[in-house]
Amino acid sequence: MRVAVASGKGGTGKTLMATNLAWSLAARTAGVAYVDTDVEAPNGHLFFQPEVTWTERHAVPVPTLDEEFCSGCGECAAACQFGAIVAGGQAVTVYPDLCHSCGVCVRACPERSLREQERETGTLRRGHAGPMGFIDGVLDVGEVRAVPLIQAAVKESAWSALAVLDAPPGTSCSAVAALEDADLVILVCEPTPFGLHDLELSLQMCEALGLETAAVVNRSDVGDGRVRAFLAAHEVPVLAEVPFDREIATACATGVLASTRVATFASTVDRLADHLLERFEPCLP
Amino acid sequence: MSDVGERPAVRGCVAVAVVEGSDLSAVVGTHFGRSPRFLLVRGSGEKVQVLDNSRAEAAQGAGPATASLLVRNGVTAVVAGQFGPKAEDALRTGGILPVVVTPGTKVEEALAGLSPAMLQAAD
Repeated sequence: MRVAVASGKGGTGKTLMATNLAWSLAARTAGVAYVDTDVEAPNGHLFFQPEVTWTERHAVPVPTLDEEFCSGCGECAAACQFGAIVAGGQAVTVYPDLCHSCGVCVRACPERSLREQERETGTLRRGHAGPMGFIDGVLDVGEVRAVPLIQAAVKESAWSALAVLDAPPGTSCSAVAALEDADLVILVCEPTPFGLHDLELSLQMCEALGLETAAVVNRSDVGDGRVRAFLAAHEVPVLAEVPFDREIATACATGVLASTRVATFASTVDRLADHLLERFEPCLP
Repeated sequence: MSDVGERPAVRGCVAVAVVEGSDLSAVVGTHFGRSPRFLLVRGSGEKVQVLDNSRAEAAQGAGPATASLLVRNGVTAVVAGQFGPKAEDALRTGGILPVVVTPGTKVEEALAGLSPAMLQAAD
């Protein structure tokens, strides 16, 4: 089972909820892993300082041209749907950053002068923090293709019976890649105009993907009532409300799990964990 | 940090590698990944189920494949004489505790060494 913690807006408390929730679940049952799929800014590890026992460089296939046999016919450029190959006269140029690794150019080339070569995009890591499994993906600096690494990190989550996915923010390909196989998406939101705007986008994405959603309202005592009204109107259950607490912010700022410092927050997270376990237990192996 | 041994098992079972036998008097198997059989123990040993390991004979990757098999069977901890590094990594990544016991230990003795919380199951 996979529970994803997501949000439209950055900084709403995804990592706060995902890390503390995973830790609380791992204290209740075996088979739990925290999976950081926010590969552009994977910082869940700061709270766990996991023992990393396995790492692998992640690579995607991109075409490379053997100019000796290239006739410059341009079939490859015509076949590419992503503009990653430009053919003009005798010169054929491949732009690896635009390539989606579909391989169609290699098949389209009558001279068989294109072949696929591995291009590294980041690092996958596996390990554990105490009783909890730990997985993350770390995208190389300057790398534009996050999706394959995110998909690889999601795939690694199959080692666990119950994975908590810390998703990238937003509604683009990265977020979709992290969420599309989730059994439940917990949308972390805050009751502000920004929070509402981005929540609307997130919910649209989840609905388009046919995903089941629930919400956690963070900093629940600020802003106005429009977020709750929106959630109610869309029948998204609110699983927890977390009022603003300077102690939570202090814990986060010092790389400490807030549930180990703030008792009220710990009981909120534990109740959420109990709720999820009760719900998912019949589906767990 | 709380240790895995302290947490209550709200579900699942403990897997013990064995070469032969199907009850608590069997001897714990030496090698995790190549173990032909696991006893899945629930409660405090009242319920024992035999799981034959179809992956034991794999040419390579027997350890991770076996770990994956056990995850799918709801295992919370695994007891064996030794674990390969890849198998241990796979189990711990999945939030499962590998427990090493000395060769010749009987299943019931190994289980006695685990905390009661790990054995008590809501199954």
